[in-house]
Amino acid sequence: MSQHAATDVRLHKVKTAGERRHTPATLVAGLILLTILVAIAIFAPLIAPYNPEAQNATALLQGISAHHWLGTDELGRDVFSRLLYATRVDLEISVAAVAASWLIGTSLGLLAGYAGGIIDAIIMRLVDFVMAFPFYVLIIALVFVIGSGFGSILLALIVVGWVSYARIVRGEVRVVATREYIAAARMTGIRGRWLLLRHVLPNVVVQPVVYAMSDVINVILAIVTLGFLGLGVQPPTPEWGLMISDGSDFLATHWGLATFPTIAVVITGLAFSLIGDGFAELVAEG
Amino acid sequence: MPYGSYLTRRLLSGLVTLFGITLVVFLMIHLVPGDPARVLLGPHATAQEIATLHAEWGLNRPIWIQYGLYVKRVVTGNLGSSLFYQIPVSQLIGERLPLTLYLMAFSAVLALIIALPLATLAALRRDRLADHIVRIFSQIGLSVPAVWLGLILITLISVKAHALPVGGYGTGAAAHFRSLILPSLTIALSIFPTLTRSLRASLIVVLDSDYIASAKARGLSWPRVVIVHGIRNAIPPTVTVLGLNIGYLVGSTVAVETIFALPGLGSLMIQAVLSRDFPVVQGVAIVYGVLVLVINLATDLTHTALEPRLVEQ
Amino acid sequence: MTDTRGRRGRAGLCATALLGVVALCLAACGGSAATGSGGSSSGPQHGGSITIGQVGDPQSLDPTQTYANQSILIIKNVYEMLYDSTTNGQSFTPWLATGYSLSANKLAWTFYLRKGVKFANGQPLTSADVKFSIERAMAKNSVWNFIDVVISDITTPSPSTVVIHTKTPIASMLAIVSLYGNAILPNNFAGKTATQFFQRPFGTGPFKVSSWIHGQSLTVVKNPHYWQKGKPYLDSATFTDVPNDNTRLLQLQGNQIQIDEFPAWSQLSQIQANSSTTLATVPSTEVEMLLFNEHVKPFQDIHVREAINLALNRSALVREVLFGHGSPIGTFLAPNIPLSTAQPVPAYSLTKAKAQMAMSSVPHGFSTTLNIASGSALESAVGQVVQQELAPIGIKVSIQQLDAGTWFSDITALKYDMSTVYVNTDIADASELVEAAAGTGGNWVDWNDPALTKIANQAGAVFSQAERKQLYAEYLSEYDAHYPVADLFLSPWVYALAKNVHGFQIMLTGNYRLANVWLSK
Repeated sequence: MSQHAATDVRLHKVKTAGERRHTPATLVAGLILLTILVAIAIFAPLIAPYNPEAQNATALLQGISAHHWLGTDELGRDVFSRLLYATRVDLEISVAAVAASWLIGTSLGLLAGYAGGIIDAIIMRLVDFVMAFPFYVLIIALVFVIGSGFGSILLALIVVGWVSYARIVRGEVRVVATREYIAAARMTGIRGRWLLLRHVLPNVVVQPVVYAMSDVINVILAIVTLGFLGLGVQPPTPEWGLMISDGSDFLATHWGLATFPTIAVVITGLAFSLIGDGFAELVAEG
Repeated sequence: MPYGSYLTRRLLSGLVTLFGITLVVFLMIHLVPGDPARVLLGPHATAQEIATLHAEWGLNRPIWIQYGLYVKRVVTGNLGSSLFYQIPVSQLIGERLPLTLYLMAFSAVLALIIALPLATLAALRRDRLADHIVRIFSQIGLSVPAVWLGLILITLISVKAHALPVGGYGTGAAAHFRSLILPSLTIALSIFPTLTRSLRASLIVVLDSDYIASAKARGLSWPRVVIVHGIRNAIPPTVTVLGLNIGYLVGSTVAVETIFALPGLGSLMIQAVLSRDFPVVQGVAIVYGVLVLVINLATDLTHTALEPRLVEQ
Repeated sequence: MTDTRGRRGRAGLCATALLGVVALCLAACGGSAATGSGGSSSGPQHGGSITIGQVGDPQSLDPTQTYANQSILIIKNVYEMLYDSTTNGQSFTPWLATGYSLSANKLAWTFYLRKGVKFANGQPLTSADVKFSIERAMAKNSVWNFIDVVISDITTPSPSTVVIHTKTPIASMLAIVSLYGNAILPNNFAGKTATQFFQRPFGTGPFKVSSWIHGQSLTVVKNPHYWQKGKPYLDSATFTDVPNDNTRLLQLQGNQIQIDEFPAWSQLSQIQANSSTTLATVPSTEVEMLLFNEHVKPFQDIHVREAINLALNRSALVREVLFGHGSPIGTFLAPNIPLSTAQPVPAYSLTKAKAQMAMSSVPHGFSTTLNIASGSALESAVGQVVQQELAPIGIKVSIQQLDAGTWFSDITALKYDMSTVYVNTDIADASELVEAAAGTGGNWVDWNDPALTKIANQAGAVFSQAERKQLYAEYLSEYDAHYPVADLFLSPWVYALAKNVHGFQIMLTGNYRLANVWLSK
C-alpha cells in the first residue's frame, strides 16, 4: 500500500505538470456562479415580479404558487422578489467592504513592510490591537457606537477588516524585500518607488486576493447575522439575515421563509469558495 | 534559555496588547455623541448623579488622566453598574462567563471530533472522490449561517423528536450538559471546515514524509502508522489553527447563545447593545479581549514549547 | 427581531408616567373564567412547581422603581397591599387591612390591619411596615411620587392601625393604596440593605424570592406563613427569561414551561390547535396608536392629520399585525372602560385622504420619521405597514427603531415626528386616559385645547355617573374630530398555557394571581 501511495503522489505531480496551462475547473465553476449572482443583483428590478416591500394583507404566509413562486411572508410580500433584491443588498455591502478593506490593508501593509522602523511598528501594533478582539465582538461594539443600518455596518466591517490584509501584505513585503534580485536591482540603481511597484507588487497581490475570497464569505455571514440580531440592515429593506429572522417564527409551518435566504447565502459562499480554491490552484502551479 | 527570553518577550507583548484593549474600549465611550456621563447613566439620570460621575471619572480633565483612572478602575474589577439590571457589571459577567467558556470548550472538542475523521479520509483519498466530497461538504458548512443551523436543529431535534431541551440552560450539571449539546454542535459545524482543511494539509505533509515511508518499509501496519504518527504530528498545527480562529469561535457564541436562550456572555452583549446598556457593552468587550489574549498566549507558548525552532526566528 | 420584550409591560407606562394613576382594576365583563377543565373532582391539587416563560428579566423588584410587566407580575405575588381589586375588578376588597374609617374632615384615613398576617420570614405585619413602605413610595425618586403626593403624612397610633393623612379630600384613597407601588415591605428591609433585600425580596404575599440569576431565571417558593390558609397550591414557580417568541412557544409545546407570558399573535391559532396547549384571553383596554408631534410643522395642519387617519387601513393592520386577534378602533378609550362611549372608526378611503392632502399646506407630501420600539415583532410590523399605507398619499415614512428606554423618553420629551405608543387604563374610569390625552399635566402630543380641558375638569368634579358619561362622550367626539392622533386597534390580553394549568385568571391590568394556580398531573 505504501508503494501505491508513493506512486500516486508521483503520478499526481506528473499530471499537474501537464495540466499547468489549463484553468482549474473550480475557478471556472466559481466564476460562472458568481456572474449569475451579480447578474441577479444588477437586474433584480427587471426580474422581480413584485415590489419587494409591497405588502398584501389578503395573501399572508402563502405557499409556493403560480402567483408567488416562493410564496409570501408574514406581511404578504413576495418571497422571490425579496430574495432577488436581498442578493443586491448583501452583495453590495460585502463586496464594498472587502474591496475597501483590501485596498486600505494592502496600502498600509506595503507602507509598513517597505518603510520599516517606527511606521511599521505603529501600524502593526494597531493591527494587533484590532485583532485582539473577536471579530463579531468588535463589529457589534462599533455598531453600538455608530448605530445600525447599511452605512454603519459597512464602516464597521472596513474598520475591522483591513487588518488581515495589512498583516499578509506586510509579511509578503518583508519576505520579498530580502530576496536577491531586490538587492541586485538596488545595486543597478533603480529608484525606491519603482522597485516597490515593479518587483514587489505582483508577489503581494496574490495572497490577499486568495484571502479576500474566504473573507467575503465571513463578511456575508457577519451581515446576515447582524441583520438577524436586529443590528444590521433595518427593515423593510430586504436582506437575507432579516428574512431569516422574520422566517424563524415559522420554521415549523413555513420552513421556506427562513430556508430560501439560507440557500442563497450558501450558494454565494460556495461561489467565492470555488473561486478562492481555483485561484490558489492556478497560482500554485503557475 | 532561548525559550525563557521568548516567554518574557511574549508576555510583555501580551501586556501591551492588554493595554491596547483597554484603550480601544475606553475610546468607545468618547465616540458616542453626547455627554459620556449621560450615556453611561441612561436617560433617567439626575443632575446630581451626572455631576458625581464627572468628578469620579475626571471627565473634565485631560484624556490621558481619564484613561489612567479608567485603567485603575478596570484593574480593581470595577466595571461600572448595569443600567438595565442595576447590579455591578462584574457580577453579571461573573454569573455568565462560565457558560460561555463551557460552550467554547464543548464546541472546540466537537469540531475536532468532526474534523479528524473527515480530514483523515480526505488525506488518505487525496484528489479522489472522497476528498472532493469532503471539500464540498466543508465549503457548504463554511457558508451556512449558524443562526439558521441552530434554529433548524432546535426544530428537528428538540421539537419534533423531543430529544433535547429547547433552549435555556436548566439547573444542575446534567441539564447544563444537555442544554449545551445543540448549541455546541451548531458552532462546531461552523468551524469544522477550517480545521478539516488544515488537518488535511498537515496530514498530507506527514504522510508524504520519509518517516512514514521508512515506517512502512519496516512493515508497520498502515492504519497504525497513520493514526499513531500521522495524526499525532498533525494535531499541534491544527490546535494552532484552532487558536488562531478562536476569534471566530468566540464570536459564534454571540449569535448562538441568543438563539438558544443561553444566559452567557454573548447573549448579554447583544441584549446590552439593544437596550443601550453601555457599561455592560464596555465590560463584556474587555472580557472578550482578555479571553482571546489569554488563549492566544497559551496557544503560542504551547506551540513554541513543542517546536523550539520557531523561537529563533 | 421576534421578541416582544416589555411590550405589555408598560401597562401603566403612559398613563401613570403622565399623570396621577388611580389603580382600580376592571376585569372586563365576560372575562374568561378560570381555566382548566377541573378534571379532578376533589378540587385544586397541592404541590408541584411551574415554569413561566417571560420576555425579559424582571430587572427590578422594587415596587417604587418599576413598571415593567415582568416585574409587576412577580411583585404582585410577593408583596401585598392594604386593599386589592376584586376578582371581577369592579371594586376593592380589604386585603392586608380589614377595613377603614374616614375622619369627619375627610383628611385622615384610618386603616385597621388584619390580624395574624406574617411576612415570609415569620415576623408579623405591623403599622411600622406600612408607614415605611408608603413613605418610600412617596419619596422623590419613586416613580409613583406624583400619585402619593396627595398624602401629607402617615402616623401609626398602634401596631395594628395606620392613619394616612391627605392634604385635600381624596375620594380615590382605596385605589391609591391598592396600587402595587404602595405594596407593603418589611420595615427597614428586615435589617438588610436595600440592595441585598431586593435581590431576594419577600413580603406578606404567597411567594418569596429564593434565587435570581439575572437574565436567566428567578425562582419563588411558597410563603410558609401565608395568611390565606391552604394557599398557594404550588410549591414553587420559576420565571425564565426567554426573549425569543418562537423559543418560548416551543418550550411550551415541549412542556419545558407551563405558561407562556407573551405568545406572538402569529402563533395563536397554532396554540389553540395544539392539543396540549390552550389560550387564556381577556379583552383589554390596550389601544395602539400613532402620535403626531404638535410642534412639528406638517402635523399642525388638521388636513394632514385627517388624511393620515383616512389613509390607514385599520382592518389590514389587524390582519397583518395581530393576525386577526383584535379590532380596529377610532378612539383611545376602549369600549369596556366605564363611562366610555364607542366612537366611529374613520373609514378607510384613499380618495378622501388624497383630497385632504390636496387641501393641506403640503399637497405634494413630505418626509417624516416614525419612532418605534425595537425588539418587538408587533412594533416592527406596525411600522412597516404604516410606512406602506402612507406612501400613496405622498408621505414618505422612514422607520427609526429605538431601544425601549429611549423610545419612551423621546415620547415624554416630545422628541419625535411620529411615534407609536400604546395605552391602557389602570382604573375603572375614563378619567385617567382622558387626562393623559389632553391634560395640563403634559400629554402625548402636547395637544392644548382649553375647551377640552374644561370638559375634562368638569367631568372629574361631578358626582353623577350619568352626567360624567355624557361629558366624556362630548369630550371624545370633540377630541377625535381634531385627529390629534391616529388610533389603530384594540388588542386583548393573551396567555398561552399548558392544558394541566388550572385556576388561571387574567385581571384587566393583564396580570394573574399565582396563589390560585394549580397543576393537575
